Amino acid sequence: MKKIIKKFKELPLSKKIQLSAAVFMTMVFITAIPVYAWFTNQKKAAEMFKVMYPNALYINAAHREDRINFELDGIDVDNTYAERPDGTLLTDGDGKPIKKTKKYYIFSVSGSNANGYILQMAHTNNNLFNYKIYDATQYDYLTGADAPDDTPTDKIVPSGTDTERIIPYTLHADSHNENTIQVVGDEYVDGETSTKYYVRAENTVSSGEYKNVSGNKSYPANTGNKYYTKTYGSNTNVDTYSVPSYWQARVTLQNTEIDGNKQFCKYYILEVSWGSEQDTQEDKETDMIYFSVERTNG
Amino acid sequence: MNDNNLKYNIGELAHASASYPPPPSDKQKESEQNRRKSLVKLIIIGIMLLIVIIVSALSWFTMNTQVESSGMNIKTATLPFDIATKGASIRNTDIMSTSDGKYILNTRNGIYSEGKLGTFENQAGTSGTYYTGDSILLRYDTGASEIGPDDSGELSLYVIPKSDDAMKVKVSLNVVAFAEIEKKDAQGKTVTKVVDGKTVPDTVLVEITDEAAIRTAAANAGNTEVADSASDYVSAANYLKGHIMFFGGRGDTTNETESLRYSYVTPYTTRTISKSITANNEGKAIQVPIYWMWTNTLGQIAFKKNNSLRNGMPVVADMTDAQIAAIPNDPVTDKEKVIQYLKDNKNSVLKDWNDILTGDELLQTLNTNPNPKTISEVVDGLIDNIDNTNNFNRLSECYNAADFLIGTKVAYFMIEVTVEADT
Repeated sequence: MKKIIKKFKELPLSKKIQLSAAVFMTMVFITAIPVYAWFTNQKKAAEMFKVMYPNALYINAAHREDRINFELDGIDVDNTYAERPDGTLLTDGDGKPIKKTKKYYIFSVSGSNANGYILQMAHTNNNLFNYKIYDATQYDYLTGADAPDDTPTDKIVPSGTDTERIIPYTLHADSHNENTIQVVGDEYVDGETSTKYYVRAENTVSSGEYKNVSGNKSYPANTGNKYYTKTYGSNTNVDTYSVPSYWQARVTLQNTEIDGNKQFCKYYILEVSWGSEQDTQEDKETDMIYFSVERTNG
Repeated sequence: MNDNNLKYNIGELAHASASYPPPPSDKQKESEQNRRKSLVKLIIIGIMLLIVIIVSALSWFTMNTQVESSGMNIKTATLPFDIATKGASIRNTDIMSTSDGKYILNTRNGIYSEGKLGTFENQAGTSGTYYTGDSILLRYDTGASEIGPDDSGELSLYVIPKSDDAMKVKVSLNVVAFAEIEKKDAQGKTVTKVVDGKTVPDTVLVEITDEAAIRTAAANAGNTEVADSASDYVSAANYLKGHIMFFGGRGDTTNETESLRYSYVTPYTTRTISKSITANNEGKAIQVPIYWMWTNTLGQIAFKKNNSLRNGMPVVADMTDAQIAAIPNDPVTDKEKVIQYLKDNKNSVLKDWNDILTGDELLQTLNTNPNPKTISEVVDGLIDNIDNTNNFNRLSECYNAADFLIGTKVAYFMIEVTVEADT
């Protein structure tokens, strides 16, 4: 023992400090081990849960712009003329503008974490308009010539598309206040005011049908069914054209329509058309149209 | 240690320096000085040793280890109980690495596994099969596969005493959030994999501990978008902790008077439970009832009594008019506890609560004379006056925004239960 002490004494100061520190740390570790043992002296249990992605559904104007941009007011059945996609008027053989009997309006249904939805349109029939809803596809450029060189073809309206089916829509600045979801491949840019082109599908939404209207027209709504009873109860003295017509479509989203963030955006075109009935109408009338969507699991 | 020489030499050991030689003229004085110095050093060493001994002694106490001697046998017992779980299956086994058909969940906090199957009786004497172990995955029978606001459940947690002594256990609850990050290739396109014939995005699961963890995982996955929003992930994990509440028992959900219904009793707002187990229960599976709920709306927590603004059943019983008049009550009612929880945990329950008031309104409210208030006190005031539609709408927006962020950023969460002996 004395030898060890003597040896220690002979060590230079730095070595002494090192050795002291080593001895001290060893002691600390020896005593610390039982302390750590305490940590293992508890039992643990855990359960793992999957979090559901928030589900949301929006109805907006084209390109998910605020609803105010879906504007139907002021349909002038006498002075509406057919236009080309670039905005110029179509003319007949005599160079006269062609009167139009149809108007098109673009709207979008978008959201997240939905497999499908029921799209409903309800409208009154004071103007005796006919309403149809078509699927629509959005494009950034009218022809390949307008597009930058590296633009993917799916952003350009396919060549040979019937011009009557192309509906242009000029974007509005500051118009994404209601819906800010960004769908991959269909992102919006704040302040963008370029024009998008929506191509109407050949046929109306396949699963869509009127629930309380018989025949090919959008009016009149049948009375004496559950829709009527729910709205008016036993009242019978209701103006025929005030009774709303209900149209519904059950839409199932395809995998290709949902992006990696479980978000989607689908476009629709509302066609409002009129014919000889309106020629006999003397007064301007007001109609109300409501659109609603409800999430389904299908 | 009794050796005098040794003792002095230990004193020498701590001698800082031998650089100044003592005056050789007075040998006795020098010797005495040295002895004094050594004594001081000895005392210091003694104190250090004492600290070491105390620390180690403390560790022995907290270890809760009993050394029992009976006859010639000496046996050591660690915790005087086992924990157990029962149920048909384990949730989300698809994301847990498996080995030999067993479920294993390897997290920062340890490795959880299925546990050992055994048969035990409950206190009523009914026999059943339970899984026991030091770190087990809790089981369940039925429940939603994906959890969102308004979902709730019960943890299947049991304690099995190893002796007939009465004992107390302390249960701590924790909520751990995980993010699922999509892998991207060099062109920024999502990397996919095929599972059961379906092409799905390839992802990595990462525990949301801090921004750095998310950034690192996102960088490894090549996902810059996630890396850029790392702070949102951390916020979402925090809100999830605030929105998952724990309770000790079921409430009255079937009362004939609808306005008197409520979901739970005994809110565990501190997330710790002390449960006493009576004597003579050796080997019996005793349930520790723990209910969790992702509270759907602020109204379910914040209204003191029934209000038409509230959507859904209150989480705990509403207060009577007499109770409201007597605030602060003694004992404090469940409703007061959850409202206090709301106030104490604003940062993890309400998103951007400190931006509720703006401009003049804020200045006016903050500068209330003669006692100026902090924004936190102002918001506490809004919670107290939640019956005001305006207050309710503002706070609800914060609550719902937090829920939305959780849903978009958190893919999985784990409820983690730690069981210790309580003194």
